[in-house]
Amino acid sequence: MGDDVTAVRAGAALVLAALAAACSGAPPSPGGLRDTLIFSAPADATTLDPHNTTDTESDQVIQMVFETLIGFDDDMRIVGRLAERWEVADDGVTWTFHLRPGVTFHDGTPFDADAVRRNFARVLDPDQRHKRFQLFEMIDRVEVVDPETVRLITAYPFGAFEPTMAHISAAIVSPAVAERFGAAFGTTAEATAGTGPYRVAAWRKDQEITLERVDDHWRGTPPTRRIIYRPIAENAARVMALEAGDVDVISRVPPPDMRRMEQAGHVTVLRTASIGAQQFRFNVTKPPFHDPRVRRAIAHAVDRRAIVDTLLAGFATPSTSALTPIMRGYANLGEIPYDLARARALLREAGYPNGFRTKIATTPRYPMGVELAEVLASQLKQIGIEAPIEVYDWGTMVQFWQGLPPEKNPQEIFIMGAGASTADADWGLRPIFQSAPTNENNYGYYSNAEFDRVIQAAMRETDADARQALYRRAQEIVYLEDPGAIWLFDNYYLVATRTAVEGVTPSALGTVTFTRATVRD
Amino acid sequence: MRGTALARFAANRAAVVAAGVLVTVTAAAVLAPWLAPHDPLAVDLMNTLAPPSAAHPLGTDHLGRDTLSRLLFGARVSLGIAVTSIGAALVLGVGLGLLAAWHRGLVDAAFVRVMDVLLAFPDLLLAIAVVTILGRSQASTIVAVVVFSLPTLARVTRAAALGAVAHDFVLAARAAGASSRWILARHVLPACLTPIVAQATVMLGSAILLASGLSFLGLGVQPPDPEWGAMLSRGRDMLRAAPLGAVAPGVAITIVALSFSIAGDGLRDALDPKG
Amino acid sequence: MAGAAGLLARSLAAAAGRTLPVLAGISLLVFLIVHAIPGDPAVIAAGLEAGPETVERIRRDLGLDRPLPVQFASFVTRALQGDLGISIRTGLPVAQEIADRLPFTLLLAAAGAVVATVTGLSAGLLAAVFRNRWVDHLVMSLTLVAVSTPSYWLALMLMLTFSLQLGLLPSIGIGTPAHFILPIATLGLQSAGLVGRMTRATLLDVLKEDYVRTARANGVPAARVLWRHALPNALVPITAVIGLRFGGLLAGTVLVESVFAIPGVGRMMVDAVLARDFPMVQGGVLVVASLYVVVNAVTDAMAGVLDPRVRA
Repeated sequence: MGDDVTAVRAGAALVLAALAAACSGAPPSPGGLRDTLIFSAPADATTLDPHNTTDTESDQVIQMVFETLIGFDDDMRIVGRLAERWEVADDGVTWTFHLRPGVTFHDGTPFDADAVRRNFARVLDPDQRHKRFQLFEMIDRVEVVDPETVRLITAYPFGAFEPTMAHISAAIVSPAVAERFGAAFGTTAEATAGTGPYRVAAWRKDQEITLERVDDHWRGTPPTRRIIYRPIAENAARVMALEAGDVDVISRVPPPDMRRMEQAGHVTVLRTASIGAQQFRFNVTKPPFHDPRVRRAIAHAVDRRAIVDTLLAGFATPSTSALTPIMRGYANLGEIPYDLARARALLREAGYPNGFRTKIATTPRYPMGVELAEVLASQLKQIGIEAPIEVYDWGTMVQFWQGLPPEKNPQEIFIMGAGASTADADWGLRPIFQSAPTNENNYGYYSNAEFDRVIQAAMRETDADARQALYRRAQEIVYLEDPGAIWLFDNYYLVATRTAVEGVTPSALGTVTFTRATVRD
Repeated sequence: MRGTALARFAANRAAVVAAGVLVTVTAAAVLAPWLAPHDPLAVDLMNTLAPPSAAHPLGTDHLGRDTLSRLLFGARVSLGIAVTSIGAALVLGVGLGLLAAWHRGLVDAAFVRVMDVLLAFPDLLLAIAVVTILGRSQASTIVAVVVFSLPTLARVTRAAALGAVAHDFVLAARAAGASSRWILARHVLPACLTPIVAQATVMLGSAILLASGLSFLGLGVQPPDPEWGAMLSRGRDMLRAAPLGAVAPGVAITIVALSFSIAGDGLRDALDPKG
Repeated sequence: MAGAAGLLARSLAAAAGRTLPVLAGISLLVFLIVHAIPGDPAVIAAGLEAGPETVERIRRDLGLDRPLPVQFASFVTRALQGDLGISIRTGLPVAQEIADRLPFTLLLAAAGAVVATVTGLSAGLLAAVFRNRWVDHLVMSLTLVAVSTPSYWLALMLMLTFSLQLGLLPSIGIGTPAHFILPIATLGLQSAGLVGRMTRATLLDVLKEDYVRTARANGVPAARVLWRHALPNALVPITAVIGLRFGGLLAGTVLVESVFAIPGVGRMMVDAVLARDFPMVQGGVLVVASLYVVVNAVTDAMAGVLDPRVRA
């Protein structure tokens, strides 16, 4: 365990494969490959429009069908995709992308600079207000230089521009299909077209999405002809379907099953350190949580090691900062020690020697969401804090998080899954903890003047070292000095495959790529 | 009459066994604080998903809590929800059913339509809606079960009461100028008690099943309450890694619901004068 | 039998008269319910990372900024023209979403009803013949075990046994007819107990009727009495129970669909409630309730035709 923690901290998305004996058998014979791979996640995609989705299951399919100008490779390094090269001018706001020639969309529309322009016009159209509008609001205008060169000019120097452009919602969709279908783009197979190595052949809602490979794709022809996404909502059924050989790959495996299968060795278990972290946040406007000492006391009262080792069966690592190690801008500030004496001392200092009464809100939408709240409640009890649990369904829960003024929000401690999908400190800290009049993204009304200053400076800082120093300071404030949350652990993204499957790469972003995947007979 | 009904019930061996099971489970629920080897809420992260042992005869759950203790205390929650909700549905349903049968005409027509609407509404969905509107809690689960059980109990009451209202002794009492309330309480209600009691007994089992269905969908009682459905629903994710955590509450639900069904049928047979 | 056809027609007409007010009631109830559920569909649809302007745009697009009576009037007038609106979650017409999924749910419910009827009738018959003997107790208890087990649990146990341990049947999905065996068995067994119980009770009642006693007194063999006289009469209430159970079967598909990953309307409606996809909830409930009402009208009519007392 120690080794991979180190590797993770080094910033690599390390994929560990616990392989069965069966796997070390004979290499696949050339003719012994199946032409179809079946993947099961808990839910169907909601839409295949990359500009208009915020859920992982949709991104899962989208990243196979669409491509961005620049993207993340397996190790989360930024590499060229539809752009072969790119550079930023000295002004820090003019980004020039040199596009890959000879690429066409699945509907036959050629990919060129004008397609890029029409895409950003679509994302940034204030009338359409796509779900990813906010992510790109720093883009001021897009200029077509020639068919193979396009220029994006931001309103201000933006330090996180590259990771933002590598985000899957910056994917380039076929402008012809998008304009033909309008708001219905991405809702059916016919209304979906990108440039990715697979195209959508069929989509039967809640049943299956069939992807067919694109021959002679610029990245090469993928070895497996067909990828089928078949949602299975029930965890136990998804695991049984894999073990029975009815599906080839599954995601979101319950940790105890993951450990059982790893030990039994009849399936291949893959895990990758991810951008995701689990935490409980404070509503800092509710006394006594306005006092940082109370929040620090609580941070010391939580035994993260025990939670990770038992509830998560070891498939996570205790948090070491407000960001996860693979994110740009991460600073290792160490685990917060489980220290009840210190916790009690801090509570005494804050004027609560006998603890107090609060409540914990959670939702089963997060894996282990209810169990984590139960553990937290039992641990807080040790320092005299009584915290009954309130479980909400997702729809009720988000109601507390969207633009409510503090006096109308009854939540005190609430669960939150963090995971900035740009894998960068800006998106991972700024919207979440920067002072704001309501809690439209800063759900706990966190407000710290120094943090605000640092985060604003970091956002406009383009020098890598200076940027890193600023984000380090920001993390010290929000993680240690004036904690905005009870950071628990950094998630692994967990995937299990039949032993006949190879070349499956889970990404730190919580998606799986199948462009190199093979299934032996 | 009473003696013969009891004798008939006693002759029905399946019903006697079922009644015995129910008495035992009820006793276990009442005596849970003395019978349970551990605190059902005591989290022990050093001892999670443990297999059965002398200290934990049914092992422990994902938080290291003793499964046997949770099962015993869970009997209180599960039976409590079932008895409270069916009791409430009984009072409301019998009242509405009697009113409809007594007044006939417009009242009855309105009653029939409203019950038709409730019956046609997909029942689990209605329960989900009720819990989502009221928020997750034991009380919401009870309300959901009441809404789910009400139409059936009210219809059974109405059907039985329609027969009773037409009986000679009721007509005679009406003619003699007796008050409606008195006639309903003294003559009509006793005459239609058999199907109502039998139906209500059977529905106690359905109540436990519905509560567990809500738990499956993440809409059951609030943790850490050890309701059986919630235990089963949590345990199923660890079904393969720690089977007892799901099997124990699963078997408990089946046995109790089955016992309610058999006992209810036995009661119907025993009380039915035609039998 | 010509009389029977006329009777059927008359029963159906009467049923239609009862059906329309029920459907009107359902529309109002489901509308009130979805709007009583806390949670703003626009907020949920937008997702956590979207901004408030996006939420506002979605709310406007969905027409959720209009007064409730206006929304209800628009829901009803459009529903009457077969337009159930656009799903918030998927962006597709609700009518199409339901049409895609309904066949699976109907198949499950109908096949489940057949399994329930066959199993339940046989069990009830056996129990009635061996009344109060051990066969009776055993058969009735066995058929009731499935009803007494949470359906998702029964489904998982069947899957564990037949797919994983015995390797006989596919676990999840809908690829082949074999895929439907476990889900149908789960649903059918769940209702078999109720049909069995009703069969037994009715047969016992019928066996006490005068004409049956007369037949037996006249030396007609017991089996023939059961088959020719008792069973046909018992079919009336049994048909009614199956009709009523059909609603249960339609609703019962929710959890079974979820476990076996079958894309039916049951699971769709639950997902829709959780996602506050109001048009989908309203459309789904309306369609499922209509089906229930129609099936019951038909079984009522059939019961009328089957009932010898009515025929005579």
